Amino acid sequence: MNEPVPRNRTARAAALGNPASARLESGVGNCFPGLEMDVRNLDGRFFPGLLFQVVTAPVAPLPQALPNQAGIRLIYLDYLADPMLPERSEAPWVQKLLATYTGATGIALAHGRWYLHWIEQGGNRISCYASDGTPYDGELLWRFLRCLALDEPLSIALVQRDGPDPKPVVELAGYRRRYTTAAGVIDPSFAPGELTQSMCNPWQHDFRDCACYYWASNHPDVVIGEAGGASLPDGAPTGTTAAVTPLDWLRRDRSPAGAVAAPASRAAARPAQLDHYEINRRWQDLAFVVGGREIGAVYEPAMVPLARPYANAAEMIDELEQRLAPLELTLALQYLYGLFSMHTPEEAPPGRWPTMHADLTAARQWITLIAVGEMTHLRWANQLLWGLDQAGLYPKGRHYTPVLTPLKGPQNLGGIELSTLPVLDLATLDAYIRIERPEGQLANAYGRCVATLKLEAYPRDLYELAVRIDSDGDQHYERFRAVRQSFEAYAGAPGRLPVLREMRVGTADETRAALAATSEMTAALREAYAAEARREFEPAQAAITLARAAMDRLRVEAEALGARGIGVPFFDAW
Amino acid sequence: MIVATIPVASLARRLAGPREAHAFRSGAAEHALVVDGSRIYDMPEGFGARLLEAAQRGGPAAERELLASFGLDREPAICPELQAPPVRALALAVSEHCNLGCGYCYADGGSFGAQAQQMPWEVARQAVERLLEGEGGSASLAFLGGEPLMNRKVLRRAVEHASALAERRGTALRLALTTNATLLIEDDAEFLAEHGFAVTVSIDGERELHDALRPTRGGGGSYERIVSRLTPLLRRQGSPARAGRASLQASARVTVTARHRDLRATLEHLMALGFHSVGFAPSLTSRDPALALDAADLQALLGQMIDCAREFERRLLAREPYPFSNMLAAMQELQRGTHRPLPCGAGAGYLGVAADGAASACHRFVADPRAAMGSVQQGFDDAARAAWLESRHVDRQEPCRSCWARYLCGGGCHHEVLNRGRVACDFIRGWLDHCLGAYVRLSAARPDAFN
Repeated sequence: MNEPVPRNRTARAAALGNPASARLESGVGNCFPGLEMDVRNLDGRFFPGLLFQVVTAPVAPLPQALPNQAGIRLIYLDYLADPMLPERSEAPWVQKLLATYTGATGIALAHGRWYLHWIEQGGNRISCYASDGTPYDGELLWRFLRCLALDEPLSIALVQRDGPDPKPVVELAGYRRRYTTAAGVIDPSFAPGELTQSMCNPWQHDFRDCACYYWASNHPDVVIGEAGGASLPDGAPTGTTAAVTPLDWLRRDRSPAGAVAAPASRAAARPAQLDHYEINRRWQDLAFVVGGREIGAVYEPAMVPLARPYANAAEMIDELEQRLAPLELTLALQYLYGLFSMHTPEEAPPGRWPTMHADLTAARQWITLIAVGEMTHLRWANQLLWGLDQAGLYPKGRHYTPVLTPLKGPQNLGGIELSTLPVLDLATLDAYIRIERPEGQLANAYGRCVATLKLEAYPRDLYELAVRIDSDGDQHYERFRAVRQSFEAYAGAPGRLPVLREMRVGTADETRAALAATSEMTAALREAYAAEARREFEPAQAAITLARAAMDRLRVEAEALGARGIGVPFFDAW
Repeated sequence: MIVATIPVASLARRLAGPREAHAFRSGAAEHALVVDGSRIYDMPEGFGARLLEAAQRGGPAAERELLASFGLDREPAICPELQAPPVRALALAVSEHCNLGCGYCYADGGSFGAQAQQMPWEVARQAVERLLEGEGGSASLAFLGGEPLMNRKVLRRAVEHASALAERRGTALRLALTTNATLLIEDDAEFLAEHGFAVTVSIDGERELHDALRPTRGGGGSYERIVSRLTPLLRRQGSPARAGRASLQASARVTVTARHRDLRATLEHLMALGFHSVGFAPSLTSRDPALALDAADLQALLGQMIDCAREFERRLLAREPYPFSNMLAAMQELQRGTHRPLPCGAGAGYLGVAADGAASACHRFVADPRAAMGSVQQGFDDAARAAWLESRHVDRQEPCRSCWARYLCGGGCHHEVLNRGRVACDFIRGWLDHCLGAYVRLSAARPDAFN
């Protein structure tokens, strides 16, 4: 370290250059569009006085394309204002380079297609060609450039690929450029905008088109408007219309009057969006989006109270075994019951409810996803348990056994009795929304697992798994709310919701096949988890395949029963 | 004599010299405090030697040149001329009487060397109304003494009046009380919690030590009485009594005398009682000369302070609470890069008000003509305040002008300096030098800790 590094706030405020959070080394830059910079643009100036470009071979070259374009290609000489090459420098290597650039060699380099031929440092020379003479791809060579040492002599050779045979070669000696100072100031040889070339930055006008049908990483397209902030005690926003109206993020009219629902197709949306040249001037009007919602002037994340860790591993294991894992299974079965209590889209009466077909299609899809999600959580909860066992954290004398039983006895959660199986009416949906609410009891339970597993005594992968379960619940909450939203339209109809079947819980006799499938499924999962806990993955996979087949049978049976108005008494399978 | 835990003499040698920057280490690495702006940097190896060489060769000019060579020269952050800001903080001596007879008391038992008085309601009312003249912003009202609870009625009435007025004016009001806690009753605790007071309890440590230093007028101990009365106060700390108000905080302040031989034990004893924080103030001026610290005592004290600071550092890294307020304040100030031309707000935004309404630079200067600044009846004397700030600017103090710690220290307590001179400079520099190293270590390990 040769330059001072600021430590406290006054020192940072007095520092030139970028704050630590905006420095190259703290960025997520790589060479992928959409991120903050293209690291290849840094290495384009690795050698003083020269500007290179990393050229990648095309995946599907046109027949008429020139062959062998790949490599590190010289774009042009740029030595006049290079801070590494001051005119009055006393360093012989600098004077030699300047003489080369300004003489006949410089003129030669200004014509034709010149490429990096080899690089040499510390007695190691790397040729830019494979053994059969094909040039290496630019991205491979770029990795070599990334590995060059600072403050060590560096020699390179350039070759003119379109020159006469034998191809002209120029050898140069110097040092690798230091791209930033210790204080994070970017070397002045880089022109403004150079590092972000080829990235989708908002001020670049093709950013307009970086939507989800175009680049792998992209700008938001449909968002929810900025919330007023107020919310009801159950977490639902007060302005329900604004809270659910999807807006076009690129809308030209940024006034409240422009906050109308985004058109459903790209073509319909196009005329009301910012245009290519408009985005150059108005990119700063575009909103930041957090969690799908536009953010106003200042983003204030909601305070998440820190959960209290469990006293020890044993307490957490008891909670997972006796409460959390059974709860996941119970909820999965509740939601499945709710799923089959809905009509299929085909059963929707034609004519009377024009949107019912679409609503049922969506609602069944969402509820299926939620139920699958609960089954996934059940697996993760089991995985936490067998992970703790593998790490030797089970209390003495105890070992992991798969947990595949629902909650025992009556349990009221979110205002619903979990030992019963209700149809998916609005009251039930409200209860599920309360249960899955991000700040709800369920989230808090996993919050405590996260807080516990974060402690050093626990394996890191278990902590990450717990974080996954903890954060995954939010989607369930959003999906239940979406279903409720679409069902509200039918609330005016007399009697039961028209989207629901007339259904009662069936008897054991009526539902024998479905219950058998349920038992087979859990038995197969029990076998699968036990095998995984022993790290026997092939038998585990075989058992999971059996469980899937049983689940498929259950679906067919339950759907057939549902059509007859009979619900499966899932809990009777235990 | 107290045994120092670090070689303080060698430290003192290292602390003299340069004035534009101070080189220090945190373990193996070298760092610099650039005095102007209290900026802290990691520096290349050998910086300290170069700084010393520059200071000896060419004085401040050569030091500045060296800093410029590292790109550390900036426009000066401290103004040479100070303008008196509006008065936004008052300390009311509601009771100049005190029921204890502490040997080191600056107020001479509350009387400030004259006939002790109780502040009449009319004076308190005028003080409050002067403080809250403007609209909006924030203001502080503190009660000191003597023992303020000896005039409980006026204290409470002043608080009620100030709260109501502040609410009408849209001013955020902070309330503070310094008390010996001997008169504290449950109802007081309720009142202080209701108003979100920051309460400072003067308590000197374990029973034996405290009783020797803070006796009643009759010579008896006061420890037992205080501790039994603290419970209702300490219990109410934490959440605010009303939305929008501050929460009650009770801190302990120890006046450190030559009798304190194990500060770490004292600190931990008071922490265990349940105080929000515990801090040390060295006794530099004292009615009883035996209780004022001399140079040797201060050296020993520094060793003990550093011992406490090391424990603070260890606990912070282990994420365990250790509310040692001197260290916490130092870390926060170094993080912010606090740089001040004065040690405190006395005579600037802060004035003390005597029982008769006379205003002075601070609560310690009651009835002292050197720092008289008008009165609540006639108005504050802005010319006197301006002259005070002009003369008290640390750049015009000796030997402060040539000390690297001047903008962190501000020149030392005016009252102590004017009465005894600057006797604690090596102690202050030694403490700051340790704090700087600790700051660098802790800000790397716990960057979130001092925001």
